[in-house]
Amino acid sequence: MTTPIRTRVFAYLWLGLCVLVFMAPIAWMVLQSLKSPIDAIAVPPRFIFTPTLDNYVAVLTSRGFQEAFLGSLTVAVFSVGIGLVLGVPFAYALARLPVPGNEEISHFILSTKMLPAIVVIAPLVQVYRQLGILDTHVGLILAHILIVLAVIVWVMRGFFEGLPRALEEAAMVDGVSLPRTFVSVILPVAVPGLVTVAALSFILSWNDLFFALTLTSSKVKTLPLFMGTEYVGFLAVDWGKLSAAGLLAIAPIVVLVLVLQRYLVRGLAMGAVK
Amino acid sequence: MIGSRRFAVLFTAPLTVALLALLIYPLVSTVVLAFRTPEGVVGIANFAAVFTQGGFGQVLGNTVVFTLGSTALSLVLGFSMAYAMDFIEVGRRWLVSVFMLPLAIMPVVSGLTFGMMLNPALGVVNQTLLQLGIAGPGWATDTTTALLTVILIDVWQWTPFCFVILHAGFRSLSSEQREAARVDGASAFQELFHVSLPMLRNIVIITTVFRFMDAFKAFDTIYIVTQGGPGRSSETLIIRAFMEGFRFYKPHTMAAIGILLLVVTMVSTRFVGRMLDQRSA
Amino acid sequence: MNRRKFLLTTALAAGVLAMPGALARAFAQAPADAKIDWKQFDGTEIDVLLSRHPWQESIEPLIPEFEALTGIRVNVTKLPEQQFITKVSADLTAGSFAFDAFMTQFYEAPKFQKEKWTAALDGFLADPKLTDPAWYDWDDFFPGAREIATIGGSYADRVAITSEAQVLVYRTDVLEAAGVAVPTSFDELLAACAAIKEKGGGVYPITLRGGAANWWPLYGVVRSYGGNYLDAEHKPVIGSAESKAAVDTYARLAQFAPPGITNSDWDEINTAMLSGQAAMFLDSSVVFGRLEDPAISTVVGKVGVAPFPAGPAGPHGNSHYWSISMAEASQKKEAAWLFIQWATSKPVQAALALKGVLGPRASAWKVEGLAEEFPQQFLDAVSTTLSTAVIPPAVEQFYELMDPLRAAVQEVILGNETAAAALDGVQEAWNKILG
Repeated sequence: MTTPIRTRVFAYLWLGLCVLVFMAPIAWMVLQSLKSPIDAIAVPPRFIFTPTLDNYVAVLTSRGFQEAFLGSLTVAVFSVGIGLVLGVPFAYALARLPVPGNEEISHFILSTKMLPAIVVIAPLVQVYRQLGILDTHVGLILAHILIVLAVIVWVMRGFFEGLPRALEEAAMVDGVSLPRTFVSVILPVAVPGLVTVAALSFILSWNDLFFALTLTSSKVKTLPLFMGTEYVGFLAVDWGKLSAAGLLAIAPIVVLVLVLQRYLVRGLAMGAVK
Repeated sequence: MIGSRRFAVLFTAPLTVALLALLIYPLVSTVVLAFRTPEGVVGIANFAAVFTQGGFGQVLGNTVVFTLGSTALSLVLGFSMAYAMDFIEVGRRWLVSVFMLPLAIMPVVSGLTFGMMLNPALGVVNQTLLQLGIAGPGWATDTTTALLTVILIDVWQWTPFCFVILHAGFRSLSSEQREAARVDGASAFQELFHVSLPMLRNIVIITTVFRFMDAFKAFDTIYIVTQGGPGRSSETLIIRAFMEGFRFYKPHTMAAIGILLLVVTMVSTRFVGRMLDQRSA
Repeated sequence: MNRRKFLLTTALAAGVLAMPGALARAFAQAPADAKIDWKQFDGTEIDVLLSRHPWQESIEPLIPEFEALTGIRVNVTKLPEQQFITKVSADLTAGSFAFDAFMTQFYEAPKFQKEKWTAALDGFLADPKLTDPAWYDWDDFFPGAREIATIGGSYADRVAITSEAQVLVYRTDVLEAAGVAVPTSFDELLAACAAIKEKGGGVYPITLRGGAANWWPLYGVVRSYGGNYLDAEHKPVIGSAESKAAVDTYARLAQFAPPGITNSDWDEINTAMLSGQAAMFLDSSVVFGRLEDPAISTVVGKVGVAPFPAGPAGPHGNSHYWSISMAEASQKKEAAWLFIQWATSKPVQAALALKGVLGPRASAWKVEGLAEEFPQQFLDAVSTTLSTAVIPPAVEQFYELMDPLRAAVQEVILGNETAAAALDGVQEAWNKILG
């Protein structure tokens, strides 16, 4: 689509403004992460100071951080992976197949996102105890699957519904079975949606604090818990290290998004329907 | 309809059953708690207590304002950004990654950082405003601005959510129909409203629903930044529920508020579901 | 034994006694002196949940000593206060509390005892196989600290681990420049604030906690004005004239504070003092240590401490004792008790005192070498305050009561309501809550 210059300029201007607004606090975090403790709490806040990498070194070399990072990574990868494997076909079925009780099931899935975790945590913990999965990776992964499933199912359902039926019909006419159609025709076209829910789900799992706090005690370590514990002391927040850790924690997400984006473009190329 | 019942059940039954098994006890337990007083009397006493508690009107009002405000703002903002992305080629990938960052930062960290940045006396925002000769507002520490402050922080954090989904939506729109409209002489505006939006309808609705549900029970940001204060100016139902359950050790009251939240969410999404059902056959 | 050996032994003993650390230890007998078998639970493992606190920070490095002494492995989990409270609350309510010992605050004692969440310690204290009463010396604890052990009303379920008092911390240089003497009463304090505001050169006269926990510093003021939260029968008296006067004073002090104090908690008031932004604060002694730390403080050497000022009813600063309790659900109660006993014993408290954490034991205050850790002025201020200090009344609905009070105080500080009207509202709310 050829866009007039004027429109493009407006678009860039608007996006540029948005970048400024959204990045300002993060830029401040970057500054804070390079400050020594005295600089970090200086009043008026300092923009000019001698930067130091001490905070980053301290965070990266801390065993706790490394363990928590690994823990979070493990939980996130499994939660998102299993969530996708379970949720995407589920979404497809809801979108296209004659599922008995379709609306009810859809709303049930959605309702898992409606009840605040805070309210149901006590009985949920009791269930976990019965199942013996308290303070285990499996337990936390399960909880995170719960968190991301609704997003995966509903967003993908929306995407699938938006696809023209011509796609499946063409394949079925050629005698391709439904599962094959799903995998080789539908999924490639749905890649923008898949990529999006994968990234979002990862973030939701990566940043969860509440379930990590209430469903684990000492054996499972995740980043939100670690950062909230280690650098938020009794009397003060260690701004330097908290900012450094906070920025380091988004590294995997940035990498993930950048990588997934490539597939966003590729999926597009296959998506054009004549 | 395409496909057989067999696949339909195969794809959906196992998961549904598993979820039900896991969640049935917590759900039932919460309902039972909500309708029973600590003394064991069955009835709606807990709900009555919640409604007649001092400040409930304010809390309810805050919840409505916060939910609608945050949902609307993040949706509109996210949409505008996704739409703008449509017009540019260079740097698109980087922009998407950049816009994801607010959502990627841990709520604990961003909450604390915002809290400090917006501190009226010590924070960088007001200090910078001071340099420009403007007296900054009290942000999270003044009853008149506290709610707005947490809304803005929530919008900052969750606009990326809307943006990313809507952006993907725009990307998967067939460009032919849109081109055709433009060639036919429609303005960008008309094209957006008559061609793109209808195609994006479901995605927009779903994004709105999710944002609404999340904003309705948004906890982390408010709790970290204001704890519902000062006074009750930024206290929402979920904050109240948390206090009742975790600070005052009144699980029955917490369950009652939880059920209240659940009912409202169910009703509103039912309503939205009806709208979605009107999708083209 | 021949003379030579005698001299040698004495010289050795004298030499050992002369070593500073050993001196402190000799004064407070080492754990090895206790007439119990420390190793009776060798090989057990216990889980301990602590809140981030100077006490926790100081005792963690000492825990290996306990492990060596008893052969018990200690797994420590620590959380910042907010998350600590959430976790304790969630786990206890769900019945999944997995820790053997945990830090507690006495406000929850009535509730915890009602629900039987904490274990009774009387039995352990009295068991000669587990406790050496002479060595442990229960009477060494301050009366207030001993009181909180049974404040729940039914049984002793906690041992105090810290003692804090509400004191007035001030900048010596700022007060001097403004020509004010150290305030000893609230009238003087208000006057000092006014003077500093005028001549202080941009420094805010005072900073206070106005956030979620404002009820704590407020309590000292309320009691000093003759008011109270609840009377002896636990009936609300927050609406009394005296209480209203106290809140009014607190709000007036708040006007001299940096903007935004309705959200300020430890972090904010600490930062305000550390960065030199505020000249005084009226809160717990526990924050004092950081002010003398050159790595983070810009006001080292310029800080003074005074006892809590007097109101019309005298000086009655608030005081606080964190405590450690044992979980009723614990399967390793005896081992946990050994830990609790050790952690609250004389030698350990003495060691902690030398690290800057004041304990609730009289002996810990007389440890040799304490003067290097704390300026005498600080010790005097805290002990003077403690001599007339008070503690808030603990009832089952404590935190539920504090919430409307906290909100009301914030409204008064912001000028949205008068103290009188606000407290009438709180009185009404409390009547409803307490039934």
